[in-house]
Amino acid sequence: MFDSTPRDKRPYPAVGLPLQMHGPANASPTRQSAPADIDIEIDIDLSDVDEAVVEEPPMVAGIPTEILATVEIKSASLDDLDYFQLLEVTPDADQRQIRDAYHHFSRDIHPDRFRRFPDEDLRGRAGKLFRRITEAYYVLRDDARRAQYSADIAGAERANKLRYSDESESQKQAAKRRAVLEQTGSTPRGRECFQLAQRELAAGNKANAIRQLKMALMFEPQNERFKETLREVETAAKGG
Amino acid sequence: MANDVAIGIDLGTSYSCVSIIENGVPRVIAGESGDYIHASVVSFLDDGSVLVGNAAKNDPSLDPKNTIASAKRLIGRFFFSEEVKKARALMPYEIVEGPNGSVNIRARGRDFSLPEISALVLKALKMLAEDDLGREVTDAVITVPAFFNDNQRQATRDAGRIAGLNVLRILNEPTAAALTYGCGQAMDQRVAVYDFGGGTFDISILEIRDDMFEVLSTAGDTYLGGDDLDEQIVQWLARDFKKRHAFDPTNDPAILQRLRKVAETAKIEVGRQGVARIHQPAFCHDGEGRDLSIDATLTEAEFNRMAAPIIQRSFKVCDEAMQSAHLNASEIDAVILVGGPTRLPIIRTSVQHYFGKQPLTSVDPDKVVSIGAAYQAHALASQSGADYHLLDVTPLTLRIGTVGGFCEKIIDRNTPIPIEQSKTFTTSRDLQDKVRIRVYQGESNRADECELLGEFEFSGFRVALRGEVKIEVTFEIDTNGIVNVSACERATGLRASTTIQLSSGLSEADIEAGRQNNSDLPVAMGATPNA
Repeated sequence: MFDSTPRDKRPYPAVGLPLQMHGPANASPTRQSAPADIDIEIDIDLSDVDEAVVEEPPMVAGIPTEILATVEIKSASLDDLDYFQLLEVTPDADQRQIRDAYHHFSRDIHPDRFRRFPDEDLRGRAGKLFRRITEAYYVLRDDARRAQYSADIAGAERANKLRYSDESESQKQAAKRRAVLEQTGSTPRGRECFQLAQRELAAGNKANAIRQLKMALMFEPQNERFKETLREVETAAKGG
Repeated sequence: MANDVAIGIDLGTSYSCVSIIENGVPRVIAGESGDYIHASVVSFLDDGSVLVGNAAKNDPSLDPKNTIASAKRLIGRFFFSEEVKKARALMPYEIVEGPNGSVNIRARGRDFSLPEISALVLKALKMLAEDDLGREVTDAVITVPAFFNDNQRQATRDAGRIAGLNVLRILNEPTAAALTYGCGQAMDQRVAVYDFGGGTFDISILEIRDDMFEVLSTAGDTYLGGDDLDEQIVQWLARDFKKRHAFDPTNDPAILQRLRKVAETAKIEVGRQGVARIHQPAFCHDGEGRDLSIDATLTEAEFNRMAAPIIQRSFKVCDEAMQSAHLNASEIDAVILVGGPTRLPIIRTSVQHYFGKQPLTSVDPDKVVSIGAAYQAHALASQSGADYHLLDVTPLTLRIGTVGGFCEKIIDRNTPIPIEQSKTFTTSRDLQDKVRIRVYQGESNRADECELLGEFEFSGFRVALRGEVKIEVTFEIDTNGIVNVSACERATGLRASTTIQLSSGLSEADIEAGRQNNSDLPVAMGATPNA
């Protein structure tokens, strides 16, 4: 059993929850049996928890109050935390630590665990928090996304970049694809002419190269690399 | 007293299976005649009752026009889809258009939605479990192919509700199989689940570490399965039949249906014995009432020649899943086989060849999914919670429609679930009081190449000049892999009301009505031994 975030290192108090959270007023009448028992148990445990070694952690509806505190605190600051803070890992954490942190939170706050939790509001917040933790894991486990994200949150716009946006990625990918295509040409004939031009150039036939480049530009008038190359060769031809 | 009995149901295209966990030990619940798997076939009898299971599949006296097989191929699909067109040409029963472009099946003058048909199979399985356990059972986990889209998942969940079940989870079949394999074992393995079912193919790559079952990737083909192998044999038999009798047996849907059964039996036989002798002296009659015979010998070599291209398709899908998981075949520690067709030697050898290791044969490929579903049902129903945790992914990219027939990505496929993503929309007209969004799933950026999940209309927000109102729409995929869409106004945080249009799904009223009909219909699971 590996747990990347030992409980004693987590900065949250084990107790101190608002009491009405497990009071009968908020308890949903469905499925849950005897909330009164739970209250009594908690009252007893609360008095002991500071000093003594507690064998069973204090619980509400089967969930340790420590976990509930995590949900309370994290969900209150959900939009101010970056993914590393959310997963409680350092920015240089390796893939294994990131996965273990995700697994750790999956054990603690997966919606399956909160399925029967009587407080609907807290259940909802736990759900939202877990979805965000999943998002953090999804972004950080992928090297490319993580690099992009780390750069984003290190920049001036950090506050707006705490959630990774796929948009920037897809735009970037599109730009990259365009750049790659421009390198060699985006049409079959354009590519062919450009290759021929390069061959002519290597053989020292500048005039032929210029002809091929002009032809390539007929197929791809917008291609910056073609234009650039043509300018270079024309300048060289004049100079020579 | 809490009702903590919960069953796991593998609702298959061809066969279904139901299991339960008792004192930590899984048990597959057997039918009257001792069979563990039950044909997913529903036959409407002339006395108004319904026969489900192997009896409905194998009794030749039943009317093919009122005997519904392979309903899973149609569930959650639109009437105009390719699969439905194909089924209308091939199936002996009547498939008609239902409300909102959905699919209905007409039997004995009554129209049934697909969830209503599947609900009859589920009802029979529920009854089977109740008879066996001697108590009422309502809690259940139902499995679906991992590659099922949101429409298909919702329709399956609706089927469960119509059958009077409390559906605890819609669980992916390969994930269920992995749970059966790894449950209670201390392991640290990467596992591939190769699930070649009757009608669908799925591959899932999982990492199992002690109590954590994390799906790394999944891929599938909802048009690939054992039925396709049968179809090859049908065509092969039909060619021979035409040559000898100058009569095409595939023109008559009822004869075709019987030919399919012959083909399925031959496939199983050739898998078991290496050769199948098919001999039926009076298979059907020609126009003048003369007996026409089927007489053929299917050798393993001949069968493998027909099957190879179909099985090859499954490895293209495997490539996709391995790529998404950033793994190569040598990094897989174990391969689990799921589905009856994986008993065929040609599939076993091909899988072994692809992954470079012998697939596991310790778990029964027919039962492994329902046992996994039972484990998950048990965990979700029990008060103490689970000893293991399933972390699954969404199989398809979630998209929204944009201008010009395109659609843009919202949540990528193979993203772990549950997950949510938001997108902000701005009003484009003064005093605009509605925002409409079409939601799709699929891997193309062209809307018509993706599956439409529905058109969502949001209203009830502040009405102002154009550009002033920002609507934040949240797309959530829950642990069932089901998509939920909601919207609120960004400035005020007020929730907008949502209505769904252009969806093939059932309304609450439909489900309630279906539930009433379902409980009124007398259903029996007869026990006729397999032919």
